[in-house]
Amino acid sequence: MFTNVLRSSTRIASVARPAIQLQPRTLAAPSTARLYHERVMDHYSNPRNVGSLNKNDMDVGTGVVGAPACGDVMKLQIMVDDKGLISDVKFKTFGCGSAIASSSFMTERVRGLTLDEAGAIKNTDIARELSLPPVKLHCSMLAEDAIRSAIRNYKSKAQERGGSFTGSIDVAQSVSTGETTADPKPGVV
Amino acid sequence: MKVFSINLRNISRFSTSTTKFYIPLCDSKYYSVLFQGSDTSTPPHAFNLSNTTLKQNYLSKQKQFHPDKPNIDHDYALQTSSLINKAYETLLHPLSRAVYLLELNGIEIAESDSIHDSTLLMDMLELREQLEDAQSEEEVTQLRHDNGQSIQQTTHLLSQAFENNDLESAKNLTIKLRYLCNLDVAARDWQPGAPVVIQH
Repeated sequence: MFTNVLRSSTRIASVARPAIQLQPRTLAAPSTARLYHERVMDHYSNPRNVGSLNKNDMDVGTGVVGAPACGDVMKLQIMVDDKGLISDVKFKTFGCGSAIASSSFMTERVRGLTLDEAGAIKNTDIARELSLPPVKLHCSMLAEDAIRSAIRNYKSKAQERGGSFTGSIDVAQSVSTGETTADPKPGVV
Repeated sequence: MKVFSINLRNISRFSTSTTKFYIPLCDSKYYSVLFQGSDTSTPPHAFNLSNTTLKQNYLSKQKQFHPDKPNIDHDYALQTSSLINKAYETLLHPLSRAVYLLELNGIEIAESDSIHDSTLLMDMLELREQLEDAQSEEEVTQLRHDNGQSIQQTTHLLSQAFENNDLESAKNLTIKLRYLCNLDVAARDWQPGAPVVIQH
């Protein structure tokens, strides 16, 4: 009985006293950690490649997409080098944490890739990597739309100025053996 | 009035069979909750609502179904009161009212929908970047003021679209209104040097 009273009184004391010390550690983290996976949190709190490239540059492709259901807007820009590889990527996303994380992750993912490789990335890859909950799947879809839109924009620019972006494949068939060889030449801008 | 209460009892019974208190969106429940039995004859499914009437009806219904009233079933009153709150919240704000009205008409703004109006996106991006680059409180206040006018204008057009039963335009205007409202929240929460993230 006595120990019970003692225990309960010390419990009260220990709850009441350290409130000030505990608050910063316990309150800040779990409220967000419960909603988002830590990888999302990482990309959200330290987003990579935030910023803008000059959208008027010929070697820059810009994609601006939006999610009408939540009113997010995402801008993703790629810079393509003379080998046809994505040499720089920037993004700006105005929306929720998952949308920011998805686009940040996408920028890291596509750097150094060819346009075809980048365009083949599926939103499910991003969702899996970031462990997005089903309700946030549309954020990864937005990132997929954004990179495709940026690629389209770049390609249309290249075509507009009559660039040799389309590239070519030299196909040759040997008269003697009938063997076909293909020599792909990626477009050089 | 009797029909009304039977309706609500059905809802409350329905809610006990599911884990979540769920109100089917296939009828105009929120409108009937607040307008049925009242003197003001508001046409069902109207976008144009007087905030004063809405508030008056809300208060009188809450008074009628207050859980602390004598001779009222406490649980029933509690659930009814909660439904009245939801109805009021949904119908009070033009954006949620528009979304609700579209749902009543079988139109959903789905998560998988994409935006075809690139002008809207470019405008919104520009405004968000303006807000991001803002250096002073005055700039933000001005931006929020201008945005408030856009909200008013869009709400007005939305009202016309619903009146003309032009649901396609209503949907597009609702999407626009959502973007404008998000910008309003972002401008409201603006602090020098701090990024603004929308929670939804």
